[in-house]
Amino acid sequence: MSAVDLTVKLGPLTLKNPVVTASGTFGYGTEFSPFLDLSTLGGIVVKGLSLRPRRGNEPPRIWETPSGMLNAIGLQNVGVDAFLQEKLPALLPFDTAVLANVYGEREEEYVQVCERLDGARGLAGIELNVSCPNTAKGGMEFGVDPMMLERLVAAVRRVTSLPLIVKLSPNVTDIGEPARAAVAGGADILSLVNTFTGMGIDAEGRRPVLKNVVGGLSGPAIKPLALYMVHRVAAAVDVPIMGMGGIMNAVDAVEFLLAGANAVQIGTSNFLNPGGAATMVGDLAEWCSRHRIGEVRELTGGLRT
Amino acid sequence: MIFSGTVALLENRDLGHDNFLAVLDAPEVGQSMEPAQFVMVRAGEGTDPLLGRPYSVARIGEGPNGVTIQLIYKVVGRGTGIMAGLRAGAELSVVGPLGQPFPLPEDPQVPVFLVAGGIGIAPFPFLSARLLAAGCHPRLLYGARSSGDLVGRDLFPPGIEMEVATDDGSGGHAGFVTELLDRHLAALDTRTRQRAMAYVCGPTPMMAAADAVLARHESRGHLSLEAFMGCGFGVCLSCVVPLVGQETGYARICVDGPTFPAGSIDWHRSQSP
Repeated sequence: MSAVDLTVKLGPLTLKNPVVTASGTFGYGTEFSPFLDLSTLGGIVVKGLSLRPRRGNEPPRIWETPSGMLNAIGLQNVGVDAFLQEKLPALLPFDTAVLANVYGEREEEYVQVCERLDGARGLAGIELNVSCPNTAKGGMEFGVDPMMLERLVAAVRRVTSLPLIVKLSPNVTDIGEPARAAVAGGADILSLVNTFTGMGIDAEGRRPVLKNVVGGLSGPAIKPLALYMVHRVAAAVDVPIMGMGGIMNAVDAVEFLLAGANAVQIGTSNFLNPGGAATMVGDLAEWCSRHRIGEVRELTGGLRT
Repeated sequence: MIFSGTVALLENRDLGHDNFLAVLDAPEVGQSMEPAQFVMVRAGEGTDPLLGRPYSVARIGEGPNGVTIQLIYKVVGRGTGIMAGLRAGAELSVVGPLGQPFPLPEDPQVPVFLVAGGIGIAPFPFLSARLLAAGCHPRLLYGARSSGDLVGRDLFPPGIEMEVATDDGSGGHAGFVTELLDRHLAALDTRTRQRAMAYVCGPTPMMAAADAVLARHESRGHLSLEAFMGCGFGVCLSCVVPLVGQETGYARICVDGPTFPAGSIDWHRSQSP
């Protein structure tokens, strides 16, 4: 039995395997060193970075839902400078693609953060967060307005030659529209989906369960919605896709590949199974081998309809 | 190293009043565990409930494969409810040990108080064993709503002096356990009082009150906080608490705590909605 080829090529970005950890669920990477060898992963997307450090929202910031969770962290992060000085160098010893997730309140802030990241040693690409539901300004504003999104992506495209991923919001009527806008602006890759805007209510107290009132829903609860959106975007555009939304195991990952994704991101699963992403790499190879698939990329879009 | 994997439940003992003692066959977790550190436990199959729950470790015991970890818990929601329904032999997903332990006093001769409120008793049997081994003479001050809620006293090693307080007066001092702490500290001379050490774990209002008592007497102490946690190891950024003098940010209870020095929590900013 020959080994399965797990490498995937997403435009300018080549990954040793299609398993990438999602922004906001994997810290700055090294927090997971006690649980797994970071070099087994196809890539790591670090916590969303802003120009200045952000303290995030007031707690409570999290609420568990049936097979899911709501969060409203508010992009607490160390800021791009501390990332470049302290966090990124710590990832240099690992053989994995480090991707920086970028957030801004205004177009100029996105551009300024990306300018600083461009050319940083050890950085394999940038993922634009245009889909955070938990901040008062920026984020999702860009993701739900195709014209604003195209202009933002084009502005960032001018200041970096790094592979550029745009992370799409599912909180739209037709996700094909922002997908096309991001591609028109110069995105190399699309990642989807970010969390669905939701809320929880404490009936006894007549209060929202999150201090921020609304939050983003993630976890297995959203997987069917996310699969559909990946399927939809794969039909709408020609760029490679990173699919995500409730992936808990290798079979879930295969489902996203079949829906049209070229790679997957693992999010909420990292919280409850911190070594799980690495396990999925081995399980995915085993699944392919069992199904006589020599190259994992054969699965992409392989849905029989 | 932090263990992440499956362990077997050896015993799940009903302590009454919705309190339980779970014994887990977890030598890889227990061997490096320190008092006030915790484990994230997922009980049950499937993805609902999805996230683990933090459990403080009450005692390290002897087991068939080395040490066991023993958890005292109170049923407060779905996660603990499912846990309480499990029988010996059930498998649990466990991540740990996690968090910063209670530091032991440098001088074993100082007065040491363990101040527990309700299920906040959880870390104290383990801490007591370590304190006794270090030559300290801890005194347990244990408060609860009613005498039936004063569980787990039989888990303490011999040689621990105990005093109890109940809200309804059904056992010991009728009133708050923080009043017992106040009384003990007030009885010490100034120099001894300033060297005294208190370890506190309980509901948030009780810990805020204990923190105020310690500040008033200029005594030292450490508080062990609890919170709902998404991960338990510092990445989900959910279980945050504001610290005094840190107006620009939050500490994470899971990795910066759960233990914090007395006087360091900004109780005013940490008020729930």
